[in-house]
Amino acid sequence: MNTSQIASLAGLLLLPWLGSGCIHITDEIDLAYEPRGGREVLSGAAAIPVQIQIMDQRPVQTDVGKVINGFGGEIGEILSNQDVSTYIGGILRTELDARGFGTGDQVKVDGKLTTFYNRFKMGFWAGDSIADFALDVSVRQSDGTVLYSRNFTAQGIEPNIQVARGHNAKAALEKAAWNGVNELFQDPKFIAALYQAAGKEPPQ
Amino acid sequence: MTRLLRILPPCLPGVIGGAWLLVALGCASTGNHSASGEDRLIAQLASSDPETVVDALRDLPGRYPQSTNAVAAIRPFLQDPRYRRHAARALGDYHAELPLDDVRLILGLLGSHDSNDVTDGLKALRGLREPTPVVDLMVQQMIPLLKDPNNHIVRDTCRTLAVHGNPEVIPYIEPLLQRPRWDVKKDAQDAIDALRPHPVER
Repeated sequence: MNTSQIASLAGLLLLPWLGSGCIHITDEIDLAYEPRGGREVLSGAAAIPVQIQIMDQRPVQTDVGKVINGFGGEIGEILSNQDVSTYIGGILRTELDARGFGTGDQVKVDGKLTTFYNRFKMGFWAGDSIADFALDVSVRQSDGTVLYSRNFTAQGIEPNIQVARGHNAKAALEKAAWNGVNELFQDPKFIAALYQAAGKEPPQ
Repeated sequence: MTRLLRILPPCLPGVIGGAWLLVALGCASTGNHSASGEDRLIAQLASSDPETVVDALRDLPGRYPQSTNAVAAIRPFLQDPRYRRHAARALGDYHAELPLDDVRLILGLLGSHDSNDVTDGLKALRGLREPTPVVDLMVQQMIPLLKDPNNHIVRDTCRTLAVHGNPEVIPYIEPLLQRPRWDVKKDAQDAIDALRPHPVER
């Protein structure tokens, strides 16, 4: 069997595979956080040094979603170029900094990230990219006493999408992360716990 | 025919009386509807269907702008992120005066990654009647939005600052007069005109 015959045979064998639509796509996304609007700088917050630690406890840690084809079939993964727990920790740090809190280990904010995943909901004309977020947050004093503990769940939706690809998942994931973190900072008990852990009176 | 005429007169009072009764009942029932419409909308807020709740939040200020019960009924919905922006808009339409914690929840909308949340938050703040310290807090958090890449947000910020701002915010708005979009320039100019101290005529 000469070279051209081998090439023809290989082509013949590959033909059904090419026609089957078995294509694999991997989308890599760069999750970013751009704070919008102003934040209320809290009096006395500068004297409260806060340390953030986020643990990734997602059941699936390899990807943050799947690429979907026009028939709803999974054809690949959506991967985050950043470590997801570092990304969430970065949002928390940015929000604490914006409110005037210091950096240090007197007050510890621990987070357990249990969900951060995007799914696509396909419609007739358009679909939605829906990201789910769940984070268990606790505030500890330096001696380990837990003063605050709460689970936050949030959703981010990028509506009316045409392709189920990474850039739409990124938009939904970023919204979900912000929605979750915003709920944490909207909870007056969380802010009060930060002050209490540092032995200070929370502002009114 | 003669037989019909002979039958008809005795029936006529009954027919007329019945018609009157129906009209009266109809009027009474319409009257009841208008009297309890506000209560029905407030009752809809307890629905388990989110769309029904959102519809009620939207309809209340439009249909019952003088309601004395609506503000108290709407306020708890600020706590729920699903309804926060709709509740905020309704409370703004009622020109409510809210406690600081509630205003903080509305201010939280200004940081959202969803532009609709931000514009609804700004429109809500525009309608609120708050004491000066709270207004100062609102203005402080709105100013960074003048640099937002979304022109709609910038325009709504100008309009809200025109209501709650003071002459000190004018320097933050002035750079917008150099923007290429005429609608942004117009809202910026309107805000500056509203905030600029007017000379007292003697």
